Amino acid sequence: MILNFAKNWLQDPSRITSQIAKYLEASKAFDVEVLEFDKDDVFFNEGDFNESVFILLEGTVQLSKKTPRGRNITVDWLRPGAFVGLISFVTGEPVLTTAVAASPCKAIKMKEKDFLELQRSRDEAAQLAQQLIIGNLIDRYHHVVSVHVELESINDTLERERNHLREALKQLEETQHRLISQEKMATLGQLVAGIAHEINNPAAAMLRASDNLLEYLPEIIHKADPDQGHHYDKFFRLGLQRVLRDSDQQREKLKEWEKEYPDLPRSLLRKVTSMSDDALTFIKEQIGDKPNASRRSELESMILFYESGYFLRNLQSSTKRIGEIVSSLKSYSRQDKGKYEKADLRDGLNDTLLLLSNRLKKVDVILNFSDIPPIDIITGEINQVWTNIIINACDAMEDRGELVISCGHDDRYVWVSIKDSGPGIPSSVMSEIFKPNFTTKQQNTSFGLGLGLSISQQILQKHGGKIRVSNPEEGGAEFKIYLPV
Amino acid sequence: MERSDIFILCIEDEQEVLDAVVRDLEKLEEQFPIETANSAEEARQVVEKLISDGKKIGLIVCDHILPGDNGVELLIELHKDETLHSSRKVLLTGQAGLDDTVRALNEARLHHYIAKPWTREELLEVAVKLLTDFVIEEEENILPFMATLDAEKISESIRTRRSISDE
Repeated sequence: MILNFAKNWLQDPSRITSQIAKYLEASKAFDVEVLEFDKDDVFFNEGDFNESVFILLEGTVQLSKKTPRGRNITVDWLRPGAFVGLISFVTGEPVLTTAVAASPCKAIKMKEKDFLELQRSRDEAAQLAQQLIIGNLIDRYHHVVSVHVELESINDTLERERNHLREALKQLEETQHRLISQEKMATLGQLVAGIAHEINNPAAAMLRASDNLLEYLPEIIHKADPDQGHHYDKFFRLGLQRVLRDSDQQREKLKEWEKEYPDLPRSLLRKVTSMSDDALTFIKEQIGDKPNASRRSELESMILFYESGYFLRNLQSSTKRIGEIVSSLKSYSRQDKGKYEKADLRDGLNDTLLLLSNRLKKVDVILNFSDIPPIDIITGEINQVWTNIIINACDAMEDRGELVISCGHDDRYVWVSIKDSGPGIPSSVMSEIFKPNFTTKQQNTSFGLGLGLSISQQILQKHGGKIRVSNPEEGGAEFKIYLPV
Repeated sequence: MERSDIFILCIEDEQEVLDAVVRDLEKLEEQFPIETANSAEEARQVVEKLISDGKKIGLIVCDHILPGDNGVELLIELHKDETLHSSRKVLLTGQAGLDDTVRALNEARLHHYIAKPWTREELLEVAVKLLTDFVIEEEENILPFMATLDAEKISESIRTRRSISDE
């Protein structure tokens, strides 16, 4: 019975309250008043000292508290049957919360002496008062428990959201890095295309000019030596078709000739002896029995035409090279703006290799190209993949070693394998290398952002392809790229 | 003009570029024979041969990027050879990074750095200046070099030497 009595209150607080109210009104011993509150009327403010306690008969009271940051938060709602201001009343401490009528309320206001009197009374009223107090405490305790549970679930949600946000932030950062890098590449591509275009015209003009010279010079030479008595044309052509001698052999020849013709300057003899044995025999026939002075002038004019020949040839081969570089630059950085086009992967690989030839100077590049069908790709992006992988290979090999590039295909994929002779990829980082911001490079490398492989992987995924990496048994690292047919 | 024992060594792997370098320095060849090498390996052989023949190398003009080696490393290696300490060294390059260049300066006593593309005047001027320094430092009789090299500097040096030996 005693254990149960609080239950009565919990089930129907208003019954007990009204009984108490009746008792208090009936008893002359108590000096209590029943007060009426309008909505928003204040019972007491947080921090006040409280000398009376209210028993709520009707309406709802909102308890609220100011947070350290100055926000008002609702702590609890009190319903009829609840004490208002019980704790501060009992402890004498300042009120913890502000109590405001959330709706029109009716409440009994009791002073300390009445409250004590009520508990002390020997009849039913004391029991009612105890029920009221314990019921209130239980109710508050229920509330505390449910607040804790709610807090926990809110914390949980918060934690999950925080993790989610953290993940999202990380992804955003990665995307931003990628975008910056892509933007950089795009800008670079535009710049390169622009430069290629600018160089293209003078290069074409140079090539044309040297072609024209190639046509005119023999005519001029013919006019200077119409009956070919001086063999100018012969030496011009020897120069044009110059095949370099082995340098040791040439040194021997040079010594020989210097001994034979000590009066002739070395610079002249060095050039003469760079010619083939046939040519040297011919020259000796021509100058053998001539007096010193005319021998020198004759040799000098032979060499003049010989040099004209090979410098013209140098001009041709150099301008041709500029032309090749320019056309590679143009196709490498083609402004395709993300358009898929049928292309042969080997073309892009060759362009990339030509443009990286400086990096590859000390690297043996071995191409094992099989026939592969053209496939739909965004050339500029795929070239970026080749560039990233080849540059990584160069870094790994410290620019010295062997780079084997092969390709092939089956029904589903065209594949390209790029294999270096570097130290391979340590197994500890094998799973990391495609992650953004993974880099083994020091800051002094030009693109040491650690985005190369991550971007490559993304490009390939976009193409419906994939990239695999392994350390082959024979050493080094192998990247294998698959693109759908 | 009297041929000297002082050689100029040009190291460059691209024949077209080597032709151009040699042609640019040809004016000096009557006095300073030119030797060429297409690779670091060949350069080592040429150096060895010249030194064992009792010749000197007054000037080394070296490309930075060579197959299998880089010019800076080669210059550093050659500098370790005592007979080449006073040889003047020029790096001819399209793209040596700052780090490499600093190393060349510190470890190979690089005397000059010429960026490609260069002009004949520039290369000749540098070669004349460096060879002048070399002969003043290394040769006893520098009078024969007045015609080809920096005459003013050489006569100045002759005057100084004389006044020192007079004292």
